[in-house]
Amino acid sequence: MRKTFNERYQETYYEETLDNGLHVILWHKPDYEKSLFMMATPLGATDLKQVDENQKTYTFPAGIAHFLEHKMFEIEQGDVMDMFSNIGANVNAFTSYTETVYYFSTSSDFVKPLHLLLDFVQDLHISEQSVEKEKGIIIQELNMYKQMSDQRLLMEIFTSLFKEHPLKFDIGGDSESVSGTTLQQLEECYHINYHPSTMVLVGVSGEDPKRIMEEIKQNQEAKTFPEAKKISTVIWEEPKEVARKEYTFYMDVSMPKVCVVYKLEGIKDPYERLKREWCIKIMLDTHFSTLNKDFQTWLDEGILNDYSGCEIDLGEDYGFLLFFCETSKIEAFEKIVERVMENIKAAQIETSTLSQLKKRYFAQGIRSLNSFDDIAVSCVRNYFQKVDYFKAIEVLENITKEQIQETCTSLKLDAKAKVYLKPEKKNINL
Amino acid sequence: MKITEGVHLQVIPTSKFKDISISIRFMADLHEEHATIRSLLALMLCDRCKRFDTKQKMSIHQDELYGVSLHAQTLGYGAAQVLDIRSKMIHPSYVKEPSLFEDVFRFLHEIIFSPLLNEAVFQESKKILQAKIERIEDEPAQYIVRKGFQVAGEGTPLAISSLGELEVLKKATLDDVCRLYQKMVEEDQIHILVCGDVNEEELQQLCKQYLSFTARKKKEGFVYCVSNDKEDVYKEEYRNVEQSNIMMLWFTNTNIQDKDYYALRVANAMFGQYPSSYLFQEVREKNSLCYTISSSLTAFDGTLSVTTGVENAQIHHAIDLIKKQFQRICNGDFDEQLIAISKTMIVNSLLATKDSMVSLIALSYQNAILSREQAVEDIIEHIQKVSREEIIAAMKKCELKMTLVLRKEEEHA
Repeated sequence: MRKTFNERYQETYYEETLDNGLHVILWHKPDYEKSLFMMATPLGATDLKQVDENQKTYTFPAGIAHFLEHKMFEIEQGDVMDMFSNIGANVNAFTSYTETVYYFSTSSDFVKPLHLLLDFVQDLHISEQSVEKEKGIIIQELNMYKQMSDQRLLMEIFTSLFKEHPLKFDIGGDSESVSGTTLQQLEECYHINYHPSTMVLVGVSGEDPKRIMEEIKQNQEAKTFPEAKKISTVIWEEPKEVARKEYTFYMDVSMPKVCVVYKLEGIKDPYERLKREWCIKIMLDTHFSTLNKDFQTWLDEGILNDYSGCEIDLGEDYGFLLFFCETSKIEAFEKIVERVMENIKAAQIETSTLSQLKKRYFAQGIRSLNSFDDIAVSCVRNYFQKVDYFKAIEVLENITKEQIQETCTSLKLDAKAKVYLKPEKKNINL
Repeated sequence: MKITEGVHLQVIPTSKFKDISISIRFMADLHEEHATIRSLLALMLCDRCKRFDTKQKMSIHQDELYGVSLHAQTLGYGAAQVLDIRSKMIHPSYVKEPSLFEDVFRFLHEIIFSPLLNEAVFQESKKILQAKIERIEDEPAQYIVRKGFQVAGEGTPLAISSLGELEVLKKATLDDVCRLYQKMVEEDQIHILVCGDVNEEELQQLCKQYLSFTARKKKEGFVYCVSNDKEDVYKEEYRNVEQSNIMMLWFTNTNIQDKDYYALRVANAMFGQYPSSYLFQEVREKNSLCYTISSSLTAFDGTLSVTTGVENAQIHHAIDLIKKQFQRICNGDFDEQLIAISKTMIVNSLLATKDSMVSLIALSYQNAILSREQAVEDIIEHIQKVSREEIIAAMKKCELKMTLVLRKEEEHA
């Protein structure tokens, strides 16, 4: 086990890659009652077309990673949730665009649930019948998200942005892709994406890391796995233009919601990506938050209320910058966005504002170390992206005015989409 | 620790967090009109103050204090409403600024004692609160809970939302807010709760200097059991929704101060709180009717409620199944294993309380307002002692009072 101690943040973690290729990260949190373990594969909702080392390609229906996540909870001995409950642990899972994660937390002994986590994730046990039965539950889950206006808005934004990239699909797919998913597809997808050598296991716990590692090794040494296939996801050729320039949909809400989104290019190097995200975020916070004195005017004029925000997200093969708000003054909001973007492209920032924002983000970074979930999810994502935890935090500190200028002045803002959510019924006015 | 009559300081010392949490809680009656106005006041207090009279100045000052957070919200505690002003700061040791703790108290002093209660802030906050309430009403899953308490609790504190009502908000004036602000500062029972690695003497000194309140009366009698003479009400509402939402509500006739409250907690865990529960197992796992289903208690009013979302055609099937599961607990149709699992789950979440600042503060506050000193271990002991007979008895005391369904209107051919 390799130990990393960070003096500044007062945090320690250990890591080791086991003989079968499984990478283990153990974050030590003395004095805490609970333990959280997370096991993850880099199979996400966007991995719909994959190719192995023999150039064999695999094409899957939208939502397969999420479907598989649901089915993993069934094992030969019964239902995994019950088994975790029986030993005093809460188990759950989530699928994102880039990974599938299984986790449990407990304030009792970690040993039994840890073995169970490893066992259920490393075994797929499904039947035609159980696959069919799951479809009803998944479709109810998709319906639930569909009627949450924020979730729906986000889905429509992605559909507006992308023509080819699988981000255009909802993480869970749709009722058609779910209904059409077969047992064989699920099995195939599992076998190529759940090999220990592609996965990572993260533990955040107050327990002795040596003891935890021994348990993990004991579990893994008793199992054999077929040789790993080298799997990669086929990269989509995504055009620079957006799929839909304007899109309006209606729901039973009181006020319209608007989103203006710019499509950007992805960036391969993870540190470069982080750096640019920070540069843009700093400018966004300077111009589209209470730090801008005009913000008050926008509120007073009723263009914005408390539901507004902006986000920058850069990935390896995608990128976008979005503004959203709840407003009936749609045109005025769009003008604000244009003005904010002009300011961001001009990339002027006071030294005092930059250092003030760094203080804020630095404290947020330290605070996130209170959260087991944040630590574990960051460990998983950093591992898959080959990024060091503390080096990533420190990217922020080294941001300079020059870097901000370089990043922001070169932003290309030609590809732009607008999504409107409008009410079906008339709203009550005060 | 009592600072003066009706004003208390609770310290929760721990060194495992990176920050310090401060929660200042003002408790008053949960009153139909006041609730909305206090909710408005909460928004206004956090927005600006006399010294930092623009949002920009507030943000800059908060950043100077390393992004100290400031939130205010209103919470219902039975027949009482609590206005909670909450702030979280990074522990000074990480930034090597020893005066940070005092600076944050000085900031809180400005927020509480020199608020900017003028027409501009009032109008803005009014719009924001309206939007907040409307957003909840827009989301079927949140709307049904809000509406369910209103319908079932008509004429009782249960029906009063601590967030506020649009009707009251419409008529609210700046004068109303100013009046209730005065009342809050002068009459509300106050608890200052601080969680983190702090020096208690220094803290007491800071409270004296920056949060000096006058003596006031202690609040009592806010814990109650909601009751009425109504029979089980079935009500449908219509909206263009993809999924039908159901809320069922029982009056438990047991509140947090009753001896059998612990039995009720175990009963609720077995009924619908966890994935191991009857609701999850029968309605979701065996019948695939829903994705989420759960039951929960309100400890200070004595209710048990179930919420779920199902397809239109399955509404009555789901309601029947829920009633059946409830009856199974009443009939003692459960094994020792379910009791044991449910207890373990409760114990686990109780232990996890110790790892969360929010939960530690909530528990400490609960103890303070109930005038007791219950450690996590004491609650665990009570839970462990609950017997099968007590579970059945607690569940039998519950009366089903309402079933509310939000659904798509049926289309007639």
